[in-house]
Amino acid sequence: MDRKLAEYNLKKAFGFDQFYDEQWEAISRVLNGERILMIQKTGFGKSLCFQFPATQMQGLTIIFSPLIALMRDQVKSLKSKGIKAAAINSEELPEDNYQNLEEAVRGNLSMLYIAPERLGDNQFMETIKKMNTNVSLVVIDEAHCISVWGHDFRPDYRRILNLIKVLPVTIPIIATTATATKRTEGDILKQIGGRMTVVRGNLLRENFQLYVTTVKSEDEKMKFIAQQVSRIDGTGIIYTGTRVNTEIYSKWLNYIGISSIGYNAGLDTEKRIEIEQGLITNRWKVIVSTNALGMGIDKPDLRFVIHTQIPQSIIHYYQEIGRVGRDGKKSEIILLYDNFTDENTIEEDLKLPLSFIENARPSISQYNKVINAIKEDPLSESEIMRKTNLRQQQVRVIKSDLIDQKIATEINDNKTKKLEFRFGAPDIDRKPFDDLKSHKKEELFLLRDYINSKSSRMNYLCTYLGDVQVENIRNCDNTNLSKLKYFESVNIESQLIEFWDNFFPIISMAPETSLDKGKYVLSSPFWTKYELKINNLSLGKLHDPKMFLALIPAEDKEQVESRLIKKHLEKAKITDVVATSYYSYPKVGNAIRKSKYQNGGDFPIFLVERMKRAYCLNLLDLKIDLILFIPPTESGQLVENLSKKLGNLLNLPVLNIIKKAKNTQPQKLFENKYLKADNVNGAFALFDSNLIVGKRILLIDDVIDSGATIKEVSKLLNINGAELIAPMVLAKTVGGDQL
Amino acid sequence: MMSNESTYWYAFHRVKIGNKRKNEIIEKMLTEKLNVIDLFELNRNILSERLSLDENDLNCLELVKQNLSNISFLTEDLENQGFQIISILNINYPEKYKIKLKYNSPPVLFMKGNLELLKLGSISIVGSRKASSLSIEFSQNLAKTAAKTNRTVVSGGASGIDTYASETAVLNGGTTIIILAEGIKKFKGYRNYYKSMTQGNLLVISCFDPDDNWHTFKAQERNPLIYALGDKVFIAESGEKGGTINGALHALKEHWEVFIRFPDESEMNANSLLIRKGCIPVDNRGKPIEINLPKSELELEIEVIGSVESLLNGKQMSIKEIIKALNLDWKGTKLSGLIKRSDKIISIGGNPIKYELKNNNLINKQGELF
Repeated sequence: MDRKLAEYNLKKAFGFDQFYDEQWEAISRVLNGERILMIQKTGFGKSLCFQFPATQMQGLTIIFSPLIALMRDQVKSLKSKGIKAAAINSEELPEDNYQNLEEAVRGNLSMLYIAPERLGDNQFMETIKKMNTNVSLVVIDEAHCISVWGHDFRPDYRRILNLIKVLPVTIPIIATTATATKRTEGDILKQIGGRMTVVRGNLLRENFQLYVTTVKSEDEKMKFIAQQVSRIDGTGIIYTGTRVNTEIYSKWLNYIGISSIGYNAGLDTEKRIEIEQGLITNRWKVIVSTNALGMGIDKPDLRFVIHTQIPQSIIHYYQEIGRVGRDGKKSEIILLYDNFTDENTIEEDLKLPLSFIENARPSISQYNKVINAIKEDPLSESEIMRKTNLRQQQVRVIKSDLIDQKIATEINDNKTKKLEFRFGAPDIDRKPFDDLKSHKKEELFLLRDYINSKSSRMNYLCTYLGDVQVENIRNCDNTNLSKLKYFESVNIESQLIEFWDNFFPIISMAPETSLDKGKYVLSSPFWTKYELKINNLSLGKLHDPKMFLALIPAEDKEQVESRLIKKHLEKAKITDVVATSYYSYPKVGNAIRKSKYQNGGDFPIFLVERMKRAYCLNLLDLKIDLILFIPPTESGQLVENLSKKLGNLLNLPVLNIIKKAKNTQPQKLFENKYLKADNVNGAFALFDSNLIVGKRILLIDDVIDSGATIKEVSKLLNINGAELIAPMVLAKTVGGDQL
Repeated sequence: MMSNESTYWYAFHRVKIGNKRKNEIIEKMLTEKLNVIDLFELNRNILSERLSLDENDLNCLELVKQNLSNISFLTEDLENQGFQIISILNINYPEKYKIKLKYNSPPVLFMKGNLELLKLGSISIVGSRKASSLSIEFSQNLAKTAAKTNRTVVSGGASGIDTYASETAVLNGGTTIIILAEGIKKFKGYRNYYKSMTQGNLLVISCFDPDDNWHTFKAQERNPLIYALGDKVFIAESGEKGGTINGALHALKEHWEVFIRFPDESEMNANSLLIRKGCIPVDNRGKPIEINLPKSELELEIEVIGSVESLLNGKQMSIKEIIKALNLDWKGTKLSGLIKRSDKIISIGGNPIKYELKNNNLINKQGELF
């Protein structure tokens, strides 16, 4: 097909007049059956380079993408042009996925977007078996995920590589990425092998104004952001290093009157979609997010991005800032860096990424624990956790490495994925982990060099990324722009103090259930309040979810969904947990530590007052009848005394009726949620259950970690007739499986 | 080892032409120095010219080729779950099949487990699903001995004798090869044999499509694979109908040595019948027993053909000369009929027609599979 004909077809199918030269080069090569790796910056129009050939070829184009939001957007846009495309992923309704796969079987699709983990999925394999059309083009989006040297290696991509190894030699492939250093590029080519060649464009973004601001504390970052975000027009993103910080920063911004919302991978699907859509429509000025947000978000006019914590490398950074200013207009890019140095002489903000790098891999003995366990039986993830007392995150890393080193395979055993030992497997090889670790440290220190750099920042980035021609770009605080700093403001100072005094984390106790899928959707978008949607129409938000039962039409009452809802509602008699602080907040954390572990006597009175404030702000309208407290494993009378003092302040009776039914180990000995739950299972009993029938209970504990203890006690109270249980704790630990 | 040939072999497995024809094509591929990828990627004219493929061959290939890239998804999934696709050209393909089954060898096998077991000495143990305690004891005795003498036990993975044989082998520190009558993915025993698998004491083999369910006709089709893989074959018990007796009769027809447990008088099975047909009776430890049964026609034939083969070593003789030399009480036509069925003896023409042993140099000549 020559360019003229192609552009004629382009107009017909997509409504565009012509290709850019670089697009046409890629497209003509794909139409010739070639295999290419395309490295082009965000906004270049990479997707057209596979979408157009897909519409011109017989058969089905399969597009592997890790980004569900991107799939959704592209499919929507293709469909609006009358092109037959579909996506299957974990966030679609099962019946929609099924429907789309049936369309593929019938040969009615031209493009199918799938997540890499679908390879091996039973339903998908059945489709492939039944399909009469042949797969004619394979697309690997975000191809840098193939490389462990890349910034976002994904174990699921390994299966794409395996697929490519067995793909018929004549099938063309396009791998695309917006960010690949020369090293990653080389690695991708090596891994894919064969006849793949590279098409690389310039990654330079001239509209970026690059700033770096150094600070001496986390509070200074918060104050700086308060000033900057009010100054900049338009909407933008703030990236934080942890999930907890997404909550803190977004609440802080809201507190000072800047509309914002927190986003991270821990949110449920519905909430994430809501935020992604709100981002497009400028519902909030700021989205505060971990790096979970953004890849594939197609919004051209984000005006700023601020990092409160440095990412792990320049490539991570470039990927994240690449999401703003796609319209080519001026956009501000600010990196905050806390270079406060303690006696260890490690700069404060290097600590988090360094600890990620240091702790990326469990110890060899932990690997061997898993290997020995799977030599006996094939095990699922949770079974491995129970057998080895390893954390979920550790088990996931080990699992992925064992598969990578051909020590184990993952099999489908009755729809459960199980890890199976491979006969004759080699010992675990530590060397690749060590190599990777030193590589990652190098990369991190290159980003620190960017921070300390005195010359053009864009030049620094482009040189690193492997742009062939680097011109002298002047658009940063090292060249033509002045440095950004926090200007002392009494107003902001006092607002921040007030904010900390009233910041109470909420910990969800009733996670979304399978009810999320189907006609009825019940969620708790605002803690203690529940929202019921029927066919996507909200029936409102209520404190007491039981009232929804009256709203379900009579003919549906018998349906599975309504039964499920009832079950969910029974569970939902437990509200989310209110904590007065995160344990990591020094003022609170240190006081607790002193009382609990350093014989410091009762919890100080300011903690009781903090609890009272948290109660009044969040729980007052629940009409609590009485206070119960969790009996201790090791901290003596602390929680009992705390509860009594709180009872005095709130004028509520405190009953000592929960007792230990068996001895338990301290929860901190157990590394994962399954063993913690096992430890406390059946561990509690009531002296007198009559006292709680029909009562609305405030349940007190000092520190919450996995929440297993509170869940167990709440279950007990629930069974014995309590009307409602509202748990409240002094502090929530951050770490382990919930980071 | 996974290579992009595996997809093509899997595809070739799916081509709907018989094993014999497939093996002929593979042989031709070797002489023409082509590989299985060429078979699917070269155009029809070249294929028909160089591999002498006919219209039907080409159409059947074409049909599978239409779904070739889809098959690569299935191949990847198989490999990911630890299954291997072993073609007849693979170094791990069982030599015994090539020798005994020749052109009937399955061109593609699916395997999981320790391929090294194929290099061990072996005994095959077969028998019906519903077996008496005597038969069970017999198969256990044999499996125990095999385990002790480092020979692997080949069985069919069905319930009854098959299971007793394999389980006893691995429980006694031995190894087993299970040859399925279903697809490699459909074997129900993976869970049960998990530790044997991880310790390298098990190999599972299937010649069917990985997702195929168990079927009687598949059991029939795979029986020769069980017989051919054992250095010795033992039948614990055979019914008068069904898989075991059919398998045994087929084996006798192929002139393979088959041992069978000598039954008690009270037993209601077909063991005695099979002894009369030519199976060699053994005691409950597998030792041959001398019994005075009149030799069966089949046994006589085996004996005669054996004598003829040794007689012809280095000689060329006519039928008459052979009958005379062996002092046979046979008609010439009967002997020539028997000789025609032997694959070691060929006629070299002449008047009267003379016979000689097939030239061994021909075997393993380049371009020949067997």
